[in-house]
Amino acid sequence: MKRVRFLLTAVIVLALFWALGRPWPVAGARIPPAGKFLSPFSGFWVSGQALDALPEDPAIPGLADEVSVVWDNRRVPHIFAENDHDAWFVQGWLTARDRLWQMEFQTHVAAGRLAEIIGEGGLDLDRYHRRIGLPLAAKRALQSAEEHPASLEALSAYSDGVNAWIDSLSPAGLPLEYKILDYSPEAWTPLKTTLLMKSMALTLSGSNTERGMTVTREILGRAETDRLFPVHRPFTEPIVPEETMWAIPSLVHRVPHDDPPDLNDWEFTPAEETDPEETEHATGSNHWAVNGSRTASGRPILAGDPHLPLSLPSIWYELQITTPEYSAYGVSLPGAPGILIGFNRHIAWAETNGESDAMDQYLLKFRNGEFEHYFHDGEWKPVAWINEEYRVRDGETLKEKTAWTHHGPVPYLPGEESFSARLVPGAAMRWTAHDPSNEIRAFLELNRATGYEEFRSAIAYFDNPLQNFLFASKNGDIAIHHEGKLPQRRRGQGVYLSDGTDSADEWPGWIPRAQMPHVLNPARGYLGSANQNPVSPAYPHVLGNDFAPWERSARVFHLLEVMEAVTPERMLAMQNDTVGLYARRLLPELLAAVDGYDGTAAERAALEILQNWNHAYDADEIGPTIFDRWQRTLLSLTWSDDITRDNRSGRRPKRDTTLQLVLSDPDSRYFDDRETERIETFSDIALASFQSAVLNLTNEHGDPGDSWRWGTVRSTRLNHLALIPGLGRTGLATSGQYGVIRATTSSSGQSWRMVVALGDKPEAWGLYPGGQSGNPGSRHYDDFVDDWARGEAYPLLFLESPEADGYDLAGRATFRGQ
Amino acid sequence: MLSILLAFILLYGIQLLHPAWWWVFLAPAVAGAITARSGWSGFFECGLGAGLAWGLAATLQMTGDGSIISGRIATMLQVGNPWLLVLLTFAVAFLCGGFAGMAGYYLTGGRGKKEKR
Repeated sequence: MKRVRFLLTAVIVLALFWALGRPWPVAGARIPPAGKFLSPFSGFWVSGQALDALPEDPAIPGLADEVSVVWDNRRVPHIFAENDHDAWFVQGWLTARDRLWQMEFQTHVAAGRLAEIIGEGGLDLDRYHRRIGLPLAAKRALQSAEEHPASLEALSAYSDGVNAWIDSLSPAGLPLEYKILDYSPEAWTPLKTTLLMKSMALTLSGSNTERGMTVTREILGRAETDRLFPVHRPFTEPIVPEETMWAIPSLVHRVPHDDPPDLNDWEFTPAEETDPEETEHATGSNHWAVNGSRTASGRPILAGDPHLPLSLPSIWYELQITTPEYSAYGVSLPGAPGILIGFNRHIAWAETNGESDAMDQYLLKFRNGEFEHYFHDGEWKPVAWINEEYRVRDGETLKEKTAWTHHGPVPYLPGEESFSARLVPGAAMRWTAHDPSNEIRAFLELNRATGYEEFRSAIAYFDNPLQNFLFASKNGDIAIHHEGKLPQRRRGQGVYLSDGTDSADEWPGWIPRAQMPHVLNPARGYLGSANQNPVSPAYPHVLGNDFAPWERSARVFHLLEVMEAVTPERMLAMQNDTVGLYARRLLPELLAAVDGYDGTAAERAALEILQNWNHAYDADEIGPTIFDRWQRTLLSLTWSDDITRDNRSGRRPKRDTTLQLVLSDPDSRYFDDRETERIETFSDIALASFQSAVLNLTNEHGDPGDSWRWGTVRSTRLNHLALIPGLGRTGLATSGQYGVIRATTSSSGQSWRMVVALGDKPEAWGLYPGGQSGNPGSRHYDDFVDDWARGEAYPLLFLESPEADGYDLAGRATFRGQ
Repeated sequence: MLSILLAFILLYGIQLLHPAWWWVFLAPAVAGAITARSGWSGFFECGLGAGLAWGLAATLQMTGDGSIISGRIATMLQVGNPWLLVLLTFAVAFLCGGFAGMAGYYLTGGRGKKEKR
């Protein structure tokens, strides 16, 4: 009997072991394996602050010499190595120690391998990344890096450092997310670094408006669409001063293909393209530099704040790297060697997204439903197929193929549903990120550059995504380069979907790098960019057609123009500027349009608030909330009826175009609601949108009052990278808006604020929303977030030696080889 | 009582040296095999010993290094109060340790078998 009972209980024990040792799907989510996860000796309980303990003189195989590391009181590591190899090795080791899961997860996603971690739910994103050729682009980038010994050494040493950390991990010491998602890290490789770089390229240059523009052209006609979406946007002052003379001949193009393809010739149904402004402006950036003629110190000051989608752990990892040859400080991308934005003893640099057009879509004609051949230049050419294998956790491995043409990949074949509303099924994409390039080399050389010529030579290796590289040096130079690999195009090419059957629409070559927009030491004594068009119409080459509206850059230029004896403190204050020029110009027109209107009590209160608003998007103001809703409703009422036909929605013109119409043509037909018999003007739409906005705000937040404050209604969240509940931060009452210098949205914003005053020794300030640790159980996971939300920045400790006497340090260690 | 003590000491002690979670079965099974007087005594006493070992360790973590993480995991699992995680940890260890202790008893007859002799 006891034997039976033993067998019964043994079966129960085994069943418990099985059930508590594996994750379970519950309500669409995956519950971690309860036994493993709840163990107070190896589960989530031990992922607390004990992991914050800094290493004590670790011995790590692979190091050639001793490396000193000092952690300051914000846990920023300062690496002092005797050679480059050891510096990158320790950078990899330290970054993995703080951010391993983030590094791995991001590269899994970029490689199209998310389903291996989360199961079938990751498949659509995996297909998207593989089909747009992200892994292939990363492989080509690695091949390029392998041709340059220093780049290869950096990638290899960094990988070795990461792997040395991984090898030292026990299951109990794994970062929390591995325990939640129940998987283990794999070895780091240089390919993962290039995957990360290509993932960044996708974020910054993967946007493509050709589908929306083509549908708009179908609805409004070519001439009107071109008028509403000008390349040189209204009110914009370009990055390169307008008076710049371009001694560059216009490139000779092949016969223009002025009759763009008719959409009706292609069998695809354009999906509705929504154009929410917040999404469109989630990525952007500001930076500016002033030379010594404008500063109190007589030396240049540089400021930069890249705007990116925000998450925890943060996209950036802060550190200083010192070797006998150079010492650089700034933020790195966890997973890549070197520093991306920062400064050294001689120079400072920062980037904004260039916004030039790095991708075109080509509509194809296939011979039949097998998609084996496509028509090009009068003949049927074979489609090349790349085999893809998708391993799916708890599911079957899928084997699929991706079609490639000479243009590039065809992410979605006709009849397939596109993961991205911007990619047209049946179109091939030509994207400069697919071309071999070695961006790592650009940063490695930038880190040690000592002057303008070395800066210029370093960024010449940077191909994609196109960036505005801003530079300042302690010897007084300031410069900006719109840098990257950009095709030659004729005017208008690449704005709409291109004809993939005819080589006339292809890229005949590249804009010579020396002819890319740049300026050194302008007479006005300052430079800046905020994603606006880099050049005036006098520039002979075509760069793109979707640059940012004017407000941020105009505000930057205005403030710099009137500022004298500039100090770093004033630059830091400027990064927190929240004045909206769009509101400043549009609001008086709106108020005038509703002047004399006697509405409800809520409407009267709202108008009074707006009349007293100073156009600053501050968290405790109510004015921005009302204006924001009012202008959004106005844009929607103005354009929705004009850009929609037969269930096809085109692209909505940007707010600067609408403002220009308000100022110059308030009786424009676009203000008329086509669904009414009346002919409406701007005044009618202004009143209707005001009534609608106030009514909706009242329904959502009650009567006008504290609940309408901007920081409450439009708070900011920092989601966890894998969207795991509880591991992010929500409800941050932030000031700012995407159209002001302090460009904050509900999920994006200044991902790094930096101000550097050049001099005999650089003085710098900086802050990113996050914390140095990637461990959600650490207080250093998000210890910068509240200060970031308040608009603060920390003085950065640029150490000359590891002795660091007199500084408040968190710890120090000497790393040795074995 | 002896089973409680043995399961507790065995599990806690071994886990300090080797943190793998499955000791929550093995240690109470050994305790049940040596000290349990009946199947149910093996279940309740070994379960309690295991539950207390994990519960105490979880409590120490929550009031020390794991204070932040327990709050975040409580939010993630939507259990509200982090102390419920301690309770959950106790419950899982109790269940595992209990059945393992019972199985241990049925394997050897535990202390009851020796007393009958």
